[in-house]
Amino acid sequence: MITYLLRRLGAGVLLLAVVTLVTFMIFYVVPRMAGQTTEQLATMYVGKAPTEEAIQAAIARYNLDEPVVVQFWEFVKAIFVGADYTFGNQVTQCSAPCFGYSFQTYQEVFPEIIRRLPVTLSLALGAGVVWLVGGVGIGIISAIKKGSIFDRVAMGLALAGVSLPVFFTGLLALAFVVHAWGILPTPEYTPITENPFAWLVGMILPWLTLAFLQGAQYARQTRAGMLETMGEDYIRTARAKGLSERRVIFKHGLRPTLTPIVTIFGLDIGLVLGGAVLTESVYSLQGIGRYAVQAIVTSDLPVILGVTLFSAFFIVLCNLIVDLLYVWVDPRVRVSG
Amino acid sequence: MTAPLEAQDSAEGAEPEAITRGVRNTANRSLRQIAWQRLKRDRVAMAGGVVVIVLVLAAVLAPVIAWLTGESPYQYDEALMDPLTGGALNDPADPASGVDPLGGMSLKHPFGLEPGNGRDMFLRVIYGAQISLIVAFCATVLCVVIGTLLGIVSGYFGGWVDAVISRAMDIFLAFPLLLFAIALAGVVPDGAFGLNGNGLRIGLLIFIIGFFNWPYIGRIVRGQTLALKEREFVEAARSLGAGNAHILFRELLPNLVTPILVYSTLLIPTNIIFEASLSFLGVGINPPTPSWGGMLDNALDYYTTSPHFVIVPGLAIFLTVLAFNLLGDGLRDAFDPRSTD
Amino acid sequence: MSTPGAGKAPAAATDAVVRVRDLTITFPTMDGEVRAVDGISFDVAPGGALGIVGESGSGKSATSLALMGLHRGTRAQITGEIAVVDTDINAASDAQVRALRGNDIAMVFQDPMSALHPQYTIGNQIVEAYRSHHPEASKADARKRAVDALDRVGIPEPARRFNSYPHEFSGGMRQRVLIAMGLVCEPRVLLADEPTTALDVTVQAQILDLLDDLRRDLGMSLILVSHDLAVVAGSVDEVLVMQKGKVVERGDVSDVLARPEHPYTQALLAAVPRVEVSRAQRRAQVRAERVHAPDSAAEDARIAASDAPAAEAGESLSVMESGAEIEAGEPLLKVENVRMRFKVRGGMLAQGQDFYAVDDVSFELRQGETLGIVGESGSGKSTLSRMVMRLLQPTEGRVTFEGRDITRMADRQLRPLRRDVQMIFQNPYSSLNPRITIGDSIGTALRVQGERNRQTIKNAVRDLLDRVGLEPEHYNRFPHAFSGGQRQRIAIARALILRPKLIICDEPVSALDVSTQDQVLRLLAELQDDFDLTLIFVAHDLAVVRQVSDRVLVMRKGKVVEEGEGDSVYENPQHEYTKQLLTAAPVLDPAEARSLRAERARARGTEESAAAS
Repeated sequence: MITYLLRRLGAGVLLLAVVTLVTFMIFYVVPRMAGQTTEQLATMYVGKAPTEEAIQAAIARYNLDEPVVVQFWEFVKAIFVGADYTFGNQVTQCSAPCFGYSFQTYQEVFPEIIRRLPVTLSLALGAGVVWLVGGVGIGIISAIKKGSIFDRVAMGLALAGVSLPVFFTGLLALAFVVHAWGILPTPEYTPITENPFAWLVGMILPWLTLAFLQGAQYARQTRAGMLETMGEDYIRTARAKGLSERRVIFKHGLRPTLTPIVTIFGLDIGLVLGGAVLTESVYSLQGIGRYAVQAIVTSDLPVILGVTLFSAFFIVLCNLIVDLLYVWVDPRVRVSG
Repeated sequence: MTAPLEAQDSAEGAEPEAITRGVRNTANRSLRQIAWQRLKRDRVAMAGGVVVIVLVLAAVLAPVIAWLTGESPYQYDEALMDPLTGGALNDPADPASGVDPLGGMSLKHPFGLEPGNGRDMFLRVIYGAQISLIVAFCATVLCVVIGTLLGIVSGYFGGWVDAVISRAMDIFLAFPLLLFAIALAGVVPDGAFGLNGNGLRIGLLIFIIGFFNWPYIGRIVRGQTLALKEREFVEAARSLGAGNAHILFRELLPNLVTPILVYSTLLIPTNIIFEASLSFLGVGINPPTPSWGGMLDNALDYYTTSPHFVIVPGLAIFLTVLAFNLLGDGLRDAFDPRSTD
Repeated sequence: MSTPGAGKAPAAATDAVVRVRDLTITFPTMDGEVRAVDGISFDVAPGGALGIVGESGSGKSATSLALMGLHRGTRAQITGEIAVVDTDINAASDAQVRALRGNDIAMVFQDPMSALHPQYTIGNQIVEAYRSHHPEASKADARKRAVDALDRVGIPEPARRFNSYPHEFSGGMRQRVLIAMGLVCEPRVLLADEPTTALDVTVQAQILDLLDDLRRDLGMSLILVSHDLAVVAGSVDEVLVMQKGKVVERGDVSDVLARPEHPYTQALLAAVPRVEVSRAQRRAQVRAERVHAPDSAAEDARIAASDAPAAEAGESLSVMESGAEIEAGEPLLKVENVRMRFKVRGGMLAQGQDFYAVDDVSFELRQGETLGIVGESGSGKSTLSRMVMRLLQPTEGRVTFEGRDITRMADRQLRPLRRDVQMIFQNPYSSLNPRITIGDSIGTALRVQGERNRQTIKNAVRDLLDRVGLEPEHYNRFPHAFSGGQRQRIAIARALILRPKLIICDEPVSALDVSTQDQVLRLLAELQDDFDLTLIFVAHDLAVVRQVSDRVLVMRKGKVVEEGEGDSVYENPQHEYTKQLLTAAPVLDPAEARSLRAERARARGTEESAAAS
């Protein structure tokens, strides 16, 4: 079991390393492959008013004239131990984890991300609860009552759900629920510590929008998994023991069905925690994902870079939690590893 | 003494085994014929198929349709719009007549007008389909090529090859895809890789989507290959002296065509949504070229006055994706060897 | 009394625990209704034992599921009467049926690997069975009963194993756990549906002995469903033979087996390979029967004369010539001290452990000879045959074919060897590529070996199809259009197309029904005569091996434990394991089956006392 956990931890670290490498490649190597010179590359890191001086400073700051390996080393070093940045004759300490400075606001990226974290956290966790409970619940009922009206309606809705992009449902909700019918106010983030009720009301639409898409997927997956499980030999054994159908379904059928769902949930929630880009954009919620999107418009590359790495961290973290849960859920892992 | 049994054996064909699985008289029909028969009876899937065909035709014939209607997707007509809100006017002749709640829908403009500039939505949606389908199809092809190749190699050779490829698939599946796509779109300058403008944009979209989504196909192909590899016909081919290339492409690949076809059909809608998402975030196709996601991005400014600007491109995405999903689900069920009817 | 046909109802036994009258089970399918069970009737007396025997598609499994009411909720339509312990299964409410299941009638399924829930401990699963029928029972009491049941079925250290998960047990042990689960409520009837089909022959004997013991000690009735007449022979009083949903014969087991009346039963019995029949007897019988079929002999001659592709290619020597040449000199195949090592992943940070699937095996094979290799799963017999075939490369040792060392040959060098050595695989459902026509499947070998002329290939394939008893016109059909036996014929044709000298048959008939088995074995014998083939025949079935082999190797855990002339190994086994195998092999004579059972019990007794001292 310890071997298993160590291996999973290793896999997580590997993932983090690869994401770091790929991110580095995107920002430092791909532009060169696209034919950019060192100066052009540096210009991208200077912001709006590129003076020759500023460009040279950027080259020095990001080691753009060094070999790629050195650049990568400095890049990784900055993340772990921080780095000193020179702006003109001013030297600033960017403490670890240092993702650099925004060109727009001249603020450190990492604290900015942390500042926006509560928004994304509220959105992801709230929506996660809704889609997990809703999706899995509906999937189970559909599987049990296969062919019933409930099943047909639920699966029809689920199919529609997976075919509806978040930004379309979000816009529809804004146009009708908020604007035309006035049922709910325009979604807005209020810290829960400030006003729990406002927090709730402000987040309902984003939660439902995100959960509708994800929940639809979960409902379909749960139903399919449940139907497959109910065809297994051990379900027949359970029935042959004389167990009630309720017990057959909820004790013997549910657990194997939910086991793979746990993995998927870990992956999905990790992705959403790293920035529910689309949902935050459509509702203008100032979360991590929106931070990255806004940075595109201004070509604020360090911000995009920072958010990408930060969200990779969440994915790795959630995967590790799932791996831990697995030890409890699936006894086979404990022995064989 | 064995005569009657022999007769029974050859005359009855595969029947005794088949009865237990609930299929009979299907022995002489090929799997594809059976699947086609099942699919034909699945009306929902067939409807999806028809919508897909209509869409593809519309996209291909977009210039012809534009010529027939005499409109252009790029033609501004600001005179039709309310200068204050950007919505279509109730009466084009009267700038003070207020905003038409239907967004200027008429015989001439069946999907209404684009708020702010008065371009014809019908043609913009059809031209948007062109972009959407091109990107989604090409990206899917890229996914299938990479996924099939790596999946089959990984499954067949096993060992460290499999370990490396499988790990790569895990990592790709765990990537914050949308952010990477945003980043890539952000750093690639115009006029790179010998392409520029929307050519580069389309190429980049296809590459991003195709390159990051191949593990879905890869996993399926790998899994199927692993299962097929255990079948003795692979060993049989080897014992006849066949090499790896023969086994991979002549023995295994024909068995993988069906799952690849089914899952590509299901991957296309995912890729359509992906393309629309990138365009929505402003890193997709450059305006003024129409794209569904881009229209919805603009709709963020107009949803209060012109709800049709949300609904029309949104429905276009929804119906397209739904049609592909229905068709894909239908194909999957039709080819499912476990289904009994 | 042996009553053929199902028309007559059995003498009404009012005290029967299971009573079935006119049972019909129909499944609706796309192509209309399929009647899986067609008007069968039988009774089981308290403490009695009934065997239900039939090949695949006979409806025996549908019948056993119906006894448990397990068709409920499916689309199966059931008519007739099923009474289990005075409850009418068809009329009873769901709750009544549930109260019956596991409590009055318990079922043991075929595949113990998938019949237990992988995520709960076996203790949990057994206790659950008990408490669902005895909700008043305390946890401690239920646990005690579960441990007792585990003990009763021979699980060592039951109290400790109580908390183990199914994947920690072997197949035989899992089947014991399932039986324990069935026993825990002390049911009146135990229904075992192919309980030993997935198990090795020695484990099969243990499970059958256990069922027999339990039945006697606990006074349970037993219904034993099997495809194998020999499996039921020693364990039941009465037997029911089913064919295509109907009972074709019913009666006392010794009567039916000794004096079968229905032609189907007779054919079935004749087809069962008997371990007491020697190679010589069998050969004589097959050859004699062949003479009476002049048609096929004439055909053989014709084909032998037109021996098209190989002769044209001009590369391979005429079979007869090469045979004569080699018989004088060295053996055709020489295997010296081969070992095959596999790495097994270690546990806690441990290094991978080595595991020898084949450990120091040597043998020689002369032209025209048949070598039987017999062993249970894990004995290494398949690994060994794949090393000879060079699908696997031996870790150590040497394999020499016609004087050439082929142990380390690269794939490309091996290609000419493939002409001489071929293999027939176990499962005809998986050994033919479902997406390739059978003609192409058979012809692949010629193409791979460099033949380019399509017509030559096609003619060769058609001739061979004809030779193995199939229609040459079926060239363009896909494998799914053929039955198991026909597919194995196709596989044989594929192995023959290169006119090999040596064919390795890896369990060639174990996936087939008994009657089909016999036909395929006959075909192999004929072909061996006609093509002067040398055969290695790998199987777990002792009887099959005896009938086809001149010499026999007995393998266990990668090692050869006994080697010798077929008859001497069978009639005078030297090694303990060979004896064990022979006493475990199911036999058709009920009296002999019982005496073998007694012998096994004695052997176990001495083992235990030896272990205790």
